[in-house]
Amino acid sequence: MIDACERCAFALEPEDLRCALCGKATAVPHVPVVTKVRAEIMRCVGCGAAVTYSAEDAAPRCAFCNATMKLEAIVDPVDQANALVPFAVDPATAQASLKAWLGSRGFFRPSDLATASTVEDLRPVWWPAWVFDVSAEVCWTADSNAGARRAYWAPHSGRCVMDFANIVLTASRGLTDEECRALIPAYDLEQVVVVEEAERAGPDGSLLERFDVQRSAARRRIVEAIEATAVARVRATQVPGSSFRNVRASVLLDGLTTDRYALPAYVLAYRYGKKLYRVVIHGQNPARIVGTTPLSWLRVAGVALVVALLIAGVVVPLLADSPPRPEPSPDYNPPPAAPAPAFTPAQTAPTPRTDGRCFVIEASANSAGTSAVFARRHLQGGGPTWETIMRRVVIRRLTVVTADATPTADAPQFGRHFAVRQGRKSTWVLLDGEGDAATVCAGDPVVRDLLRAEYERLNGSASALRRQLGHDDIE
Amino acid sequence: MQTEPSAVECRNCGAQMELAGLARTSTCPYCALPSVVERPATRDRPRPRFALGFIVTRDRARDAARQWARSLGFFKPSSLRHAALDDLHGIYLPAYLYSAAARSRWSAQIGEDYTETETYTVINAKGQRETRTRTVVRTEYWTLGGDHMTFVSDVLVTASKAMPNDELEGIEPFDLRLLRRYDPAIVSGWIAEDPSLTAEQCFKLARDEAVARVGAALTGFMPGDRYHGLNYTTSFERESIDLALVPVWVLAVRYAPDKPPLRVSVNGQTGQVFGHAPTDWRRVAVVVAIALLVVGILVYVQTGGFS
Repeated sequence: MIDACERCAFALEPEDLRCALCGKATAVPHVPVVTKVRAEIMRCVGCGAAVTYSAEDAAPRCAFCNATMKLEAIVDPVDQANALVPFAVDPATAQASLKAWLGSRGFFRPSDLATASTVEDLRPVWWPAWVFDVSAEVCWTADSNAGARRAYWAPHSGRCVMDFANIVLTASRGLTDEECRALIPAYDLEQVVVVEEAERAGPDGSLLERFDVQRSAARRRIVEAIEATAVARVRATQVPGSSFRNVRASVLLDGLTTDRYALPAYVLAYRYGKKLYRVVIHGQNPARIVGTTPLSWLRVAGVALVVALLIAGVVVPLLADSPPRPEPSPDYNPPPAAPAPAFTPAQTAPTPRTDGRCFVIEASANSAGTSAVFARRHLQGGGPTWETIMRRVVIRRLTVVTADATPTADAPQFGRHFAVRQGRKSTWVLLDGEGDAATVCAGDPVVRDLLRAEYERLNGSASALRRQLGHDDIE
Repeated sequence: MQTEPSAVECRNCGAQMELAGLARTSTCPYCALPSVVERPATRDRPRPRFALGFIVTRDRARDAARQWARSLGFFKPSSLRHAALDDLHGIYLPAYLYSAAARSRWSAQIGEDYTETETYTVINAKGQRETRTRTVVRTEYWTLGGDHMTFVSDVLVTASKAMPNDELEGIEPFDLRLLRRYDPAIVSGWIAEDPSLTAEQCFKLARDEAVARVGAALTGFMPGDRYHGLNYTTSFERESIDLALVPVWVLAVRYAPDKPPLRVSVNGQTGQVFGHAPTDWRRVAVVVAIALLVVGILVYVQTGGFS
């Protein structure tokens, strides 16, 4: 039986001494009625000696037998989900909708994306979220362009009552906030069942992600989310005019209730070429998909070329004085549209610009162990490449004088240069990454052989590679 | 409100213990056992609802006080820095915990900045009048009023005449997440008091502090680039006030034979120290005298002496 706060109707937990929202003391279980002045001696339950409170133990302690007396515990547990939304999509449907989605990703994606991709990993998960309902009196102030005189802004204020129903706030660490934002609007929270039904409510092997936030911190985050939602709503519906700043709201909450839900989704990894890409599919509505897809660099480069030619053909003749625009070089790398910089595909043919001082690391030479390590890291959102790995090798194994050095005249003029010291000699190293491939050059054959040996060691042993990568993110 | 000393019987040996007016604890002079006193609750002296247990030990409290005394500035009496800090008492101070829903009506002059190009004339190097332009930032003011509503909670005010509210504020905040339901075992063996201020006096203190909190919230609530003339009236609804016992180490520091001892308080939960250290006016006078002397010499040198 959960009581509500007498002042703000916040749903209280049985252990709460005060309302976490407004500070009102909860009802006292029983108050001893004292009719005349009396003195009491606190006695030890074990030996009957007198008990005094000890600051060292932060608890009452028996002076005779040293036993400490338990006080009512201060609880701040990590509350787990109390409701669960069942899966309405089976794994086969999820895979089919992934194919359909991959086939409809627009012009700049590879044409064989849907046919050449293979699903490598498909995990049904319930991710944790708070769902809250509350009504709030909101007072707000803002500057807006409405009614402005000489200044661009005019100040406004107002007051309204807002109801927030079924607001979903993510508590997941497995899914990103962005993924959750995309999934949340499509959930039908009416379909809720109790958590004990998990066996029957999802496919085999479904994972129930646990809440990992303590109750006090959870309440704080919920209140912050309500305030942020209130400000967003004030901006959208209350402030007159079309442009705003300084939108602020004070919120008096009434009847806040929160539930802890587990919401269904499929987390998939599909392989296209040598890369793994992550996609999340809604567990109730398979059309709702959020994830990354590779870009077809050929197509992007083609369009860039056409645009460049058009500019060269149309604009340049108009500006007779200006020198002709150079065509994009084969190295031209437009910035990726999707936020997946780690997934830059390999270039088709690297220009022959290396000599005996260099060696080239090809992705095709990756050992099975290396591919496995890379695939796992890509899934986690990091993206190791041979360039970043070799950069670390250079920093660890050589004495680097300057990273990002200006290339010396005798060195090939590309890539990232390091001025290093080998023994007593000063020399240079350069690294150049192109997707999965990397070129490593060194001014000193000893250094080159050292780096090559290190590469071969790492490629030959997945455990050495994992150690080298460590747990931290590689930029 | 003055309570005459009363006597109470020791539950162990039956001896009569004299009770100082508001003491909530007592130690039997015959069997040395600590007792916790319960009195019939009255409006001005309700039974405590909450208590915060001591966490800072006597030694840590003394160290904190010593640290505080040593870091006092030059103008404080040097005897204070070296005073003995032995007379330390752990006291559960009665304090009221107040919370309410605050509704305020406010009005203020809100300033919105804009830039304007203005022309002005100067006399140039050739002695001619020249007209130039410059952009200046101006502010236009609007009178704006509105409402503000919030819960005010965790307002803690003293209920003891012995400890003024500003001294309590000096050692705040307490970590109220560790608040417990009052249990006599928490105060057993320590000094604990019942309130000596009336409930009405404490209510007023609490409301004043709550009004100040609302004012602080309002300064962050004003729109515009600047504002002035903020006025507000706040009414409190659904107020609640509960008596709590909070842990304070109190020291009486004797630093001069002719002066009353200085009271220093240490938060029994966080170790925060507060004390009204007096200013040593002799030191101030000496510094001022030296400064005047130096200025005098400088003036004397500058003016080339009395020729």
